[in-house]
Amino acid sequence: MEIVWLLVVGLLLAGWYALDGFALGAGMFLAALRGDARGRRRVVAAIGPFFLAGEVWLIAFAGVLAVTFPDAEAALFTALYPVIVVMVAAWFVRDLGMWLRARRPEPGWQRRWETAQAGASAVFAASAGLFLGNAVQEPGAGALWWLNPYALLGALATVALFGLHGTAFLALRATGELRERGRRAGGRLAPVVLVLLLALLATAPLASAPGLVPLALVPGLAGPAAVALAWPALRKGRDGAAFAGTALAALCLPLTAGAMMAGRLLEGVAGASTIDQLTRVALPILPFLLAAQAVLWWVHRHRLSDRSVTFF
Amino acid sequence: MDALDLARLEFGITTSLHFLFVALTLGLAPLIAFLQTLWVVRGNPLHERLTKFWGQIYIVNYGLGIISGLLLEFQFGLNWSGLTHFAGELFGAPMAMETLYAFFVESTFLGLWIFGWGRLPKVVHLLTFYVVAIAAIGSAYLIVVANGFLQNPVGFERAGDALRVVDVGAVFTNPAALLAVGHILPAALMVGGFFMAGVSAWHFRRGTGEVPFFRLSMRLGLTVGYVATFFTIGFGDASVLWVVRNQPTKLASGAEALRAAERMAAEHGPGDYLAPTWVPIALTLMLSVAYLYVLFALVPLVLLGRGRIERRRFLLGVGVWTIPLPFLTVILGWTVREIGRQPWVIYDVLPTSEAVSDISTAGVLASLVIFTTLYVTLVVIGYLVIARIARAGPRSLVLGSVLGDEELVRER
Repeated sequence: MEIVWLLVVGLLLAGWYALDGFALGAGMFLAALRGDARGRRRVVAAIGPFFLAGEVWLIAFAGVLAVTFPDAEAALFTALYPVIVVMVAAWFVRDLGMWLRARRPEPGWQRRWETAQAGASAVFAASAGLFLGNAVQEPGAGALWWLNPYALLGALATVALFGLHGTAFLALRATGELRERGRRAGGRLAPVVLVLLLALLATAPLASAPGLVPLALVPGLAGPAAVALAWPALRKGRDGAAFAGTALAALCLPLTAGAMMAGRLLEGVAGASTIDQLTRVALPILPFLLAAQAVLWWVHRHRLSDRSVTFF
Repeated sequence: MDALDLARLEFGITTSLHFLFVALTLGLAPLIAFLQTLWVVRGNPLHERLTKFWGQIYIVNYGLGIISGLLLEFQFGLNWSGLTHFAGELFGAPMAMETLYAFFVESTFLGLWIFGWGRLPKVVHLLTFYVVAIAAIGSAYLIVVANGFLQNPVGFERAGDALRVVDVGAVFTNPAALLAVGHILPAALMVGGFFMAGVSAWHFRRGTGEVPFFRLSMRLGLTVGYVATFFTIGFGDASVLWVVRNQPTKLASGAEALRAAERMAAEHGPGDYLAPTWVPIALTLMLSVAYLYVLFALVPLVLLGRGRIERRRFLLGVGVWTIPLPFLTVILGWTVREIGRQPWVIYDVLPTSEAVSDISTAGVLASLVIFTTLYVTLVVIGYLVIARIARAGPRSLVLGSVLGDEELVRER
């Protein structure tokens, strides 16, 4: 049963990478739309319906991890205290930007919150990368060990990957000028992401003691492969295929890290009775949660139009 | 101050400010569900406007609640890893169930509700809000089950350096949890009801002209708030009686409390096991506010008939200026409950000093400064924004608007 819960925890984090990753990427893209208030409004409108349902995955991950792998969680959170503080603070500011932007009509107010959202999205993505990049390593000594080269590479790769995922999302959901801009930016970002992901994979044995276990190689290679497929799809205008590719690449990042550290996580698993309890009371809701998310995506499967409901 | 004090301070500040938003969310949800049901059943456009106006206040408040709640899920892992290690099965399981059964469901369905306006069939759209409201109540219940275990640990046994569940039923029907849910839900309805009445009073006082709109809001808010007051007091009193018998050190007075403190000192080593002496004072203050409402909310209630209240400027002013009062009172209630538990994190089982993580004082201090700044910013800007929406009234409804008409307005 521990393996099932390891998979559930992995699924929840992977869900966040795929479903909030594009919101962070599109949030960063706001910075690229300086002087285009209409475009920025459309970016926010494009994310809108998926925003609430995307970020819940990370909350669910934290909540479930704390119960199922309490000692692994405690070790990780204590070792990576500053990273998590920065991550939650950036998350806080990103959400403030999203919720407050449209609450006043003044362009100055809106621009300020858009800037806050763009900056905080980048910091949020970077700290998620720092978290995973450090989590696969044994905690080191010194107050700033978490700024080691491998973790920094992870941060850079995550920011770039989320950026790509966000542009693919805009290419899929927007129309006209914004769709073109998303597609062009994605086409330029894709090779960078590909190189960064491969570098992350190649240097993994240097950073992590158990190295690349065979299980980690599957998502580890699937990620770059998905980016390699999304790249031409973006250029040819096959937006659906491109978005599916970047989503898969985003999913693969935490799964690779999870496979690399599975051994350590399993050592920190909760007692058998906790796992049994939770299997009985918490596992049955998962299909319902997935179905509700699927309904949400189905309702908002169309491209942005004048008839799209806005709130943010 | 050491890491323990700072971690406690951080927990107190962040949970209290988070609860401000939670209380209004919990209190407004049933009222909005009622208004939208009226709209769907009768098809009256007045009810649609009511749903949208109170709905957009609800959503913004919910959003601020989410943002202020983000840290809480991580805070246990960051600052209180001793608690998750020691009692993950009893305390952590209801918390994890809350994220999956309540928060996840609530957020997903709220997304469907906000962006399903005009897209989903009317009845389905109404049902999505029912799910949101039920999930909100479920969330309150599960959080209080987790908290109830800290107040009154039941259904467990010690297994090595951790606790294990032996009776799940006892954990989920813990009197410390059930009494608290019975108290918190009507208290939230007081917050929501008197908020609705207070905002309506502001509009009557300013003569903004939306008479039928705010007449219905005032009636609904006052009636629900007033009736809820009695339930709040009833369950509150029952909780106090229960605390006197089961957590004698909480209200720190009398021979019973001293005996319990002596027993704890004998069992767990020397220490101050009595809660601070101001806890009973805070309790009395909370009770006084509730009785003030019993007495004085009767006046506007009597004047509701034929809209007489709408011309009483002084009374309307009181209604506006007392909007914060129920908010402050619910925070007072949590303070009594949580400070009264000290020095225990799990009453009579685990002291806070053993639950705090092995972290540096500088680290906690930095996170305390960062998050206190962010929370204060959120509360100030958030309430200014909510006040602005409330003052603008039903003439500027944004809920259900589409990209096209938003851009039309802008280009004009």
